[in-house]
Amino acid sequence: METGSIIMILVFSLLFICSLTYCFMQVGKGGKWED
Amino acid sequence: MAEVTRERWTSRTTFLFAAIGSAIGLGNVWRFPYMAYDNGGGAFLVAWIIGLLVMGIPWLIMEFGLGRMFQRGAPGAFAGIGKKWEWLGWWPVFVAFLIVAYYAVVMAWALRYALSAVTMAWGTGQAAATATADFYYSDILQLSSGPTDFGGIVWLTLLMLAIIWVVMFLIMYKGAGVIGKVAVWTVSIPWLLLVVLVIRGLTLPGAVDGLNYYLNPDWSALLTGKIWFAAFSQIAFTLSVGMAGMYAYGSFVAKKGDINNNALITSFSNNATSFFAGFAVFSTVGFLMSALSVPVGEVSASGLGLAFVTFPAAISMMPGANALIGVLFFLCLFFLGIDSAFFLAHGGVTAPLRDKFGGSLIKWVAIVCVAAFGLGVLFTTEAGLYWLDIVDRAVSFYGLLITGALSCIVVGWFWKPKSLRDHVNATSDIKIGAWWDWMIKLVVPAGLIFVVIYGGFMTDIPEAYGGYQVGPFNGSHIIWLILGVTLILSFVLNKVRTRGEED
Repeated sequence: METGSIIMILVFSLLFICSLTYCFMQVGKGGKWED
Repeated sequence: MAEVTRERWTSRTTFLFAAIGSAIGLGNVWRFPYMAYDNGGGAFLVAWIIGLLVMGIPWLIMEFGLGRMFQRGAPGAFAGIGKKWEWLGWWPVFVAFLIVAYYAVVMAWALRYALSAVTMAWGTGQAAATATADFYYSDILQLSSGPTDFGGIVWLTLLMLAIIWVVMFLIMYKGAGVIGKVAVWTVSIPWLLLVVLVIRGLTLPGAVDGLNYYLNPDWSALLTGKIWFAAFSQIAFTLSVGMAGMYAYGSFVAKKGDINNNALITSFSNNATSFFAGFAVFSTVGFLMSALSVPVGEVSASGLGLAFVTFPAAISMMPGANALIGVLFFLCLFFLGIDSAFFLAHGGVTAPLRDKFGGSLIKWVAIVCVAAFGLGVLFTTEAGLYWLDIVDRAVSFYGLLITGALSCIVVGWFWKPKSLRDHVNATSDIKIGAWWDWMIKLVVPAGLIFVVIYGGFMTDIPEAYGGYQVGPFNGSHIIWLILGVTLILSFVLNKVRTRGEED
């Protein structure tokens, strides 16, 4: 596999994992869900 | 707007699954990977992420937020901004209705293929691989010579379509709570199937070549307008914004529920799924290229051609488990589609109608399902593919982009984006700053108008779309006609008095 492809796989996998992890870590900080 | 008992998501999880399910659809599999390949591979991913951050996420926050703020679907939300803007909420309702009418037919084709895969009806081996186009056009579609040559109804497709709408009715009439619970499954199942397809794809000979086409970056592409057009258009089409439904989905959120973080999770989950689906698609395309000894340009790697011609060809040549992979792939497409169909039919059409006219949920669900099924019959005729192509161009391209741009302009320039920002920030895990106002005022509408002009008007005005001819009208005329009629109907509905609800 080309080096560029490997770098893209690593970078974008990390980007999605980190951004989703961050979002889930913030869950609940805005208050409770229920009315 | 009429007072109705508001449907509610039963939990944050069900809302997230419903929103993610509506965003993730067939386009994640059949559009995104090809766009990446055709626009600089990995370089496209960079432009695509920028498009998500500056256009997709701000737009999704706006739609969720307006729905939650006014506790109404798209027309009610715009009526809340000002009665004179209600039509701007109705226009995307027509977009959603027309899309779901043909989207359900594509799902019906996927079901037919899943059944055909059990016996590998299109054959196996290299000879079958070159015959899948015939199977699609002659056996599945029974395609006629043009849009006015309707031939007859393809009865097996009509039967599948009827089954789909019965299932849709049985789930939708119980409201958002049940849709959310069903979405937990209809999102999880295709994800699991995608995992199976990726593993199968990566273990095939030639898979790495396919992945290099998909991912190896050509950085010089970032300096061209084409890649930015492709990235912004992909973002506009992938999040299911501009189709009215996200306003209603936001309106089902509890008054203290989060908006911003849910929009972020929905967006990133959707794009991560696209990225992942690319491995399933291009590993398989790479295998087919290798097996047939043809360059990537000679296999259809996007749209209906990818799903119904290229994938069956690749499946027919796989060294084992052909039927199983075939069934799984087409079930995956079906499940990817069904929660987008819930979203379009329920959030996009049913909820706004019920907001406006009141009445029971079951009544409106029945009306919408029967009407969408009735219109869908057009796409089950032997001329169905031609009409699907024309209507898709009219509503899924122009309708979505134009109503999206106008919505942002109205919110950004004729209303107070700061009041919406304050509203969503009050209950959200993650706060958004004043930058968001400017995204809504400038970046999102500019991006959408760029896509409309660059990818639409520049080709469809000088040339007849698709080369179609229906009496005195060509394909482009029909597109303008559909847009014009739906716009007029939107103004008519704006003028219709809103009635009360007796629940």
